[in-house]
Amino acid sequence: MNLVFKALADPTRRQVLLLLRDAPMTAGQIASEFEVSRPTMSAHFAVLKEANLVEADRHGQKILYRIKLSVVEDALLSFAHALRGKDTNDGDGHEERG
Amino acid sequence: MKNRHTYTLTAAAVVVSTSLAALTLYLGTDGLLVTLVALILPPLAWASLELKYRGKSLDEGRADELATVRWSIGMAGLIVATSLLSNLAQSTGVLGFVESDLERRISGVVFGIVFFLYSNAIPKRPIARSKLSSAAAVQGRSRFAGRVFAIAALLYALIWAFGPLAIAIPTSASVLVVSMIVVAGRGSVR
Repeated sequence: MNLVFKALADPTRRQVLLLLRDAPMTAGQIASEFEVSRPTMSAHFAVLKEANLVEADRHGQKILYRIKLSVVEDALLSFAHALRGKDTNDGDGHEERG
Repeated sequence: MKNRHTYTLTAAAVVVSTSLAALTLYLGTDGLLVTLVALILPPLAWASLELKYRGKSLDEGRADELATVRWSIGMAGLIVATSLLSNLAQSTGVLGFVESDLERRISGVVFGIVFFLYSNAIPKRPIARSKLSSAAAVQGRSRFAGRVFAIAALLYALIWAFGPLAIAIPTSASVLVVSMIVVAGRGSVR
């Protein structure tokens, strides 16, 4: 559960999960939604996979990311998003309050 | 879920439920057939599973499946153990000062909790490779089903914990039936 809280603590990772809630997306599609470097985005994906909140499936030449939230984790994400709002990010993982 | 933890928890649940079933038989309390089933099935299921996969190395997917089956056996053992424990406590007079239907309430609440745990995990189930092209639809249905069943499970447990026993069975059963109808109806909508 600590890994889940760690994953949900970051606003970029919360936004990734909110995007994936609608539909699975490729890594490129997700990265295009954020102004962060590729290594930073890879690090976020690694944290989400370690917390077992996303799953990566190879779909042809692309990797498709799919959300894997339990009902409780989904509720935690909604609660965290409602509480924290959409915090801005300067692109290097540093959080700024908007 | 971690395979090592599910092994330990399943073993504990099976040992406890089997011990309680043996004790119930020894004391000669009511429900002989149910007690015999409780004495035989959980350890038989667990032993069969462990013997089948003993010494085999499994990939991550199969290991997760094995952990899920272990967890299911452990939950069955937990339900059985809870029912037997409350039955024994009442039969021996330990809980004689409370209402005689406490066993039914406890069993109902435990079943509701187990149902909630299963419902909670529904959206985390893997999607078959053959369905990856419609993953968004499958994902949506799984999330909806998980939420509906989780709410139904909580209502079920609350009804058995606090509701009048006279209407607990039909009310709690209705909650489950309605949840299944709602989920089935959502699944049929494209």
